[in-house]
Amino acid sequence: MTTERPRHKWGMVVDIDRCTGCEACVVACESENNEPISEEGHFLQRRAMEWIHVQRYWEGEFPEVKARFIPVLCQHCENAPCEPVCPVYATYHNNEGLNVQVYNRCVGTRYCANNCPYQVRFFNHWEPVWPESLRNQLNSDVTVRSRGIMEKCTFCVQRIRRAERQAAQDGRELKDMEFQPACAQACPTSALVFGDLNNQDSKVSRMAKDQRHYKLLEELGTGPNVIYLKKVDVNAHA
Amino acid sequence: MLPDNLQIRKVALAVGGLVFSIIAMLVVGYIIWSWWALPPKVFGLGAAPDQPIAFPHTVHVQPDKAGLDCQFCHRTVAEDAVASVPAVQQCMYCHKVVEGSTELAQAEIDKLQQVAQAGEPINWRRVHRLPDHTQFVHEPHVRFFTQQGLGTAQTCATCHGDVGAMVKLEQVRSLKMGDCVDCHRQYSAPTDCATCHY
Repeated sequence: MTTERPRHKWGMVVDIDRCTGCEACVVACESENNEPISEEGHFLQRRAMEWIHVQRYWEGEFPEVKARFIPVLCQHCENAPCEPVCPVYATYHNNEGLNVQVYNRCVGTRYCANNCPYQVRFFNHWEPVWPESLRNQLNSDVTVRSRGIMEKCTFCVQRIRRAERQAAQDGRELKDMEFQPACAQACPTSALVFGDLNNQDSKVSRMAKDQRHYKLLEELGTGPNVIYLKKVDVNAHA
Repeated sequence: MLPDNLQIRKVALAVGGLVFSIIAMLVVGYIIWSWWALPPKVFGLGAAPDQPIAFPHTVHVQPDKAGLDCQFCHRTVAEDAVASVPAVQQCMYCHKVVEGSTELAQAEIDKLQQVAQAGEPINWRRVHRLPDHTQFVHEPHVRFFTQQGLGTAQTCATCHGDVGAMVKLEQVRSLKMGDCVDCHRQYSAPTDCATCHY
C-alpha cells in the first residue's frame, strides 16, 4: 500500500531541433549518478554505461549529407515492457509516473534489458572502479551499484526528493522548473526540459502540446513519458 | 532358522537405524527450536563500540548536569541528511575551561585537549549505520515529529533511545527495513520503494 503523495507525473520533452549532439547531457548524467566509466573496450563489447546516450545517424548522400542526433534515455513508459518480466519485482511503476529500479531487489537476470525496445537498461558486468582522483566526486545521494545489478535513468529521483523536501521544509508546493535532472541542467541549448505533465501550466506540458511532438516507437504501445519534438526541417525524418 | 551371521546383521541394522533416526531427530529438532528461540542477529544492535575518547552523553545531556540540547552539538540534524558530529573546536568552546569532576574524566578531557592542540579530528567509531542502498535523511523525520509536538530529546529518542542515559552510546532499535516500514505505515508516511532506495 502506497500512501498518497501529491499526484505528479514526471516527464521530459526533448526538442530535437535544439539538440546539437554535444553530449554534455551524457557527461552530466555520468557524474551525477555515479555511473562506472565506460572505456573503449566496454563500447566494443556493447557493455558501455550511458543512461542517456546521443544516437547519431546520417541523412542524405554526400555532399548533401546531414548529421542527426537523438538523445535517448529511459522513456519511463506507462506500459513498460521491462516491468512484467522481472521475477523479483525489482522494477515497477510508482504513482509519480517513474519507472523505478530497486537495486537491492535486483538479482541480475537481465530479462528487463532484453525486453526493453529502447536499449536503455544497463547491466553491471564488473564491479565499478574509479581512479583515485575521482573518489571524492561520487554523489553521496546516489547508491553505487555493485556487480550483477541492472541500472538505468531514474529521472534523477534524488533531485526530485531533495526538491520535495526543500518545498515541505518551506511549507509550499513544488514550483515548475524549480529543479532539473542533471542532463537537462547541463544542456547548453535547453533541448531537454523536465517537469510535471499533470500540471497543465508547466513548461513541459506546454511544450508537449507542440504540433511537432512524437514519441519513440509509439506503435509498440509502451506509452513513453519522454516526448520528442521533430526537427524543423522539411527533409528530416525525425 | 537363520544362519548366525545373518541374525547379527539384522540386529546391527536395527541398532544402526535407531541411532541414525535419533541423531536425525535431534538435528531437525535443533533447527526447529533455533528458528523460533534464537533471536535473529542484527548487525550493530546492542553493540557499544569503544570510542577513542570515552564521551559520556549522560554528563552532557542530563538536565541537572550540562543539560545540552541534542541540536547544540548535532547541528545539521534538522536541516540535512546527516546529524553531523561536532568539530573538535566545538568541544573546546567549553573544555577550554570546563574540567572533569573525576580523575578519569579529566584524563579523557586531556586527550581531547591534546587532539585539539595537534589540530587533528577525532576518529569516532560509527554506531548507527544503514546499508549503502538506503538514503536516509534526518530532516523530514525531525520535522514530522516536531510537528507532532515532540521535543527535541523525545524526537531523537524515537529511534536512538534515551541517549541521555547512555554512558556509552549503543544502537537500541534494529533499524532494519521492517522497522522503518512499520513506523512509516503507522504514521502514513510514503512506503514507495523510491522514497528511500535510489
